[in-house]
Amino acid sequence: MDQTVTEELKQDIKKQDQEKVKQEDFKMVTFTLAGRDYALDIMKVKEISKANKFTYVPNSAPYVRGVYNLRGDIISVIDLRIFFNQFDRDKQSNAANELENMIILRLEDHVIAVIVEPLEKVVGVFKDEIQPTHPLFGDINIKYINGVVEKNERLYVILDVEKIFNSRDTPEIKVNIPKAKVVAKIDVETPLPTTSSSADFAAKDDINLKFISETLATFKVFYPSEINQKWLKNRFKDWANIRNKSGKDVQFSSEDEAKAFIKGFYSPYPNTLWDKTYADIIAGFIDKNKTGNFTVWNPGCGKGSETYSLSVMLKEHNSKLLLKILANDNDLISISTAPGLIIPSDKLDSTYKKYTVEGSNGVQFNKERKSSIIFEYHDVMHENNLPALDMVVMRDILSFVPVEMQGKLLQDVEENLRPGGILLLGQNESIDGRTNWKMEEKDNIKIYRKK
Amino acid sequence: MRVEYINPFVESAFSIMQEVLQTEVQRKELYLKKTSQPVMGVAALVGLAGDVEGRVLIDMSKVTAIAIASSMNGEELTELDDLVKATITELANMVTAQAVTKLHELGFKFDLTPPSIITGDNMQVSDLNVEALIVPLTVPHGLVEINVAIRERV
Repeated sequence: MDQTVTEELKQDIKKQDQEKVKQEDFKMVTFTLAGRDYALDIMKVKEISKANKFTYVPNSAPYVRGVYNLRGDIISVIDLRIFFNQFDRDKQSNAANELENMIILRLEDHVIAVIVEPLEKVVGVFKDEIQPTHPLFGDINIKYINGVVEKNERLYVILDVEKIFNSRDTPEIKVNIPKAKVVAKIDVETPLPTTSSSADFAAKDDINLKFISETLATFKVFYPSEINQKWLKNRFKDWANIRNKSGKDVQFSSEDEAKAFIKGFYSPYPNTLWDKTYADIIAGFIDKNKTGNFTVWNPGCGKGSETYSLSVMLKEHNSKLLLKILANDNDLISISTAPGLIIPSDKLDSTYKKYTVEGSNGVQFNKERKSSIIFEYHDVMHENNLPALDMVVMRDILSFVPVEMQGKLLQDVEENLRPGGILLLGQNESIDGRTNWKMEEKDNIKIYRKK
Repeated sequence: MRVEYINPFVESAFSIMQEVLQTEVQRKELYLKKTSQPVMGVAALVGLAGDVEGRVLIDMSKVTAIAIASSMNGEELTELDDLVKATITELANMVTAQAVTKLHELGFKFDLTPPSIITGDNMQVSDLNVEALIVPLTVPHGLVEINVAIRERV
């Protein structure tokens, strides 16, 4: 009797186990890198093979081991150990003779091989077993990790390969440098090196400028940093002149004065639709023959004039694009009115006219323009959850967020903008010191193109 | 948070509270909060899944929960018992359901999970990668916060 019960129990357990196997959400390929366990989604894996003596490509990044001929297809080979700074130097010596373990990944639009240390096995994983990443995972940038899962008393870090090798055409260039380097670059607070131009800056002026910078930040109207340093210095000279002439102190005595000081900073067409000439110059930076999706991020869109201008500008410039504009603002009142923006009809340019409809309250943009834009109530200082972007329009935003946020925001843009993507900043803002960007200028309008 | 989502929640929270409590409801300024935020003591949680996904949390202190349940049931309740919890669950259901109906009318399709009540001290709620919109409402019974964290499904 007892025996049958245990038998039944055993079968029951077996059944449950089987059911559990059936319910597995996906399978993971596991491997080790410098003694640690990692896993990646098997659906991304095309195949697994062993090889060595890759064809070396001169002048490529250190983590690119070369190219490999996979039955006629040339694919690039990336060494994950170097990529993640996990290189075990002792093992390097025999690497030349031994065959390397390669996982060949099929990503969204290309195939790439990564070199790992011994492959382990395939394990089934339930979605609910995946734990979110913990900020303490220092060795690999947290953005590249999908989560952590425990299997057979080992912890596997699940890598998000799409994010790691997020790119369009040339993976080698686009693979982002591991975090350590990026962090070093976003140190916006570093004081500008003293250049020869500062020679005419008397010591007293320097102190005054420092004071003014601090006051601007205290009044929370404007955050002086590397991004607006150039404009600030020039403006300060003018300001000091005017104040000295009228016998007033250079320092601000009220918030209004601080606001007056930065008045000239703003880019053209705030809260109004862009003029055609302005729009045309900016459109000139965009490839006219591009087809397919084109995603734009427009933080700080306010009441939406800028966003609609962008939508019309891109449509006029290249009607083949499938346009999606993400517009954010942290001002609830402004953003709430944005989807149904009313345009004073007397000010309406002929370019805009054909994209509008007459409503009961006044002239509005038509449905097609509206559906190209998603307006969101969002604060850019919180976490920005962005898709891959082709263009970022961020005029006069960086200078109005605290300095430590400026770096974070730029990093968000850098991480999500596709290579060759365009960043439009305010007319008096610049990021010339940063290495990942190339400045292009036409008729006094600057854009930054991501390398 | 898409602009279109905001109003349905604000309106339905406001009108339901006004209706069931038969009292004046005051709305304070809406604001956004990032990932982790404290929960006051009694939280009713309703999940959303479909075109949009996320959750709605109706959050209040224990004292407020008991006072609201008392007036909804028309009797004096003194402790956080099953009746109070059931009442708050119902309140959460009504608020969310009305908001969802409004969103359906706008063309967003999704389903609701049954509300669950969470009680305790010093709790926090975190939503990875989603910002939460807080709609604070004051009624004579105390402060009730409608905490909405939803995003478009990608």
